[in-house]
Amino acid sequence: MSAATGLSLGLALCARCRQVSALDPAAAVAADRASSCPRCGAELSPRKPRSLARSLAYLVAAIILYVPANLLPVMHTTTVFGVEDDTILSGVRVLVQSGSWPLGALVFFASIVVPLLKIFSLSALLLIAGRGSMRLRMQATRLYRLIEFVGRWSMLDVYVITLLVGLVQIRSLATIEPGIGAIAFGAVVVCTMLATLCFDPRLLWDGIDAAAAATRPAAASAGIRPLPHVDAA
Amino acid sequence: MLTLCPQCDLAQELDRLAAGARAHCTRCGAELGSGLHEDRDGLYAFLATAAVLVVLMNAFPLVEMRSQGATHATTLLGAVLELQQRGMTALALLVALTTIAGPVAEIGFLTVLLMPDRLRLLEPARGRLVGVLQQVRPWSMVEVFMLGVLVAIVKLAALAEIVPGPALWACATLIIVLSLLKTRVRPEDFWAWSQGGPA
Repeated sequence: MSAATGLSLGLALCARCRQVSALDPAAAVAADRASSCPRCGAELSPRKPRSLARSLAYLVAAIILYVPANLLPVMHTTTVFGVEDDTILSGVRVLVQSGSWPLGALVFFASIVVPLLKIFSLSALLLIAGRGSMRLRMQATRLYRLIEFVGRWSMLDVYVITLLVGLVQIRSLATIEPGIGAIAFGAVVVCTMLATLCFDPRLLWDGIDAAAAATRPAAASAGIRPLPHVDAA
Repeated sequence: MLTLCPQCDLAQELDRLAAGARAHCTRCGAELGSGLHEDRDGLYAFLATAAVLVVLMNAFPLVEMRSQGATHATTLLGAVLELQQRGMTALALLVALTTIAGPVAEIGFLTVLLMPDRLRLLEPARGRLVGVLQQVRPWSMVEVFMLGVLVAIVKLAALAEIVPGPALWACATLIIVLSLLKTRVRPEDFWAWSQGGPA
């Protein structure tokens, strides 16, 4: 298989309209002058700008916020029997104990597994970007798609808290106040989503052509382009 | 037509795709492009439905709680304002952005972008509008919100009688309509549309 890439051909894909255009080498050298897509006018760059640095910044913020998000209470429930504080984890425990374990498992997945998965996966992606065998790069790309897809579901607990606070305001029965942990938790979700959005999966594949060219000299890297597989509607 | 994979940058030759067909990268399997849905009238119908559903979802109560003769219902906005009054302005903003502003913006921008070409209102602004739409979409989370409401209902079921409100049904339907729209309209297709055929 040939491995001509946009980067090796001096081409860039517009992130907005998917038009392929030639990168102006002069613009690439003068980093302050970005080229723009001739069709839609979007800023054109072969990779998302400062992808690794931005992604890392959001990831570090998420890791720091993860501590208060799990230690501080997300809800205070006041009933005639007294005040009770709930953290993210105790909320899951209550669900499981009240008999609805499938729902408990779901919330456990969305609130505990997904944020951890995102933090560990992003760390791994940032570490191995541009390195490794073909197989590793493929698996890393799959991991990226997975966290891009499931990332939003960790907002679940934020919505549960919002609704409980909005609804349980009957003095004679119970009132629920939001806790400071809820803000931290929401911030973790936002930061991990931003880190994923900033990460450019193409960085995972960079450098593989050089590695392939070293083992398979010449010829292959020029001209021949494989036809993509097309699904019917 | 030469194209580059958006996820691994591999250069590949891509033919014009039939409506609804999708092409995938030979190396990493990412979607390279999709065939244009020509049926714009169908999209208008979906958009009109979505707009009505968003209004219903915001105008009616989501859930009602009944206990010992006392009832308390809340709308989406009501719950957001309750959060804000309890000093959680940042959290209230996050919820409002992802459940109210997100879907409204998604539907609004799509409507403007899909307006008949002969109006030619926004030729210069089209690029920017598509850019905004692409940035808004990940933050529109109606489906996650719906699941959150269901979890809250189960949590409260032990405490009091819970009655789902009309907004909950609107929300469930909106999820379906929005996901249909999402599979049918790719923001990057708008240029093919404005050129009236193959890109």
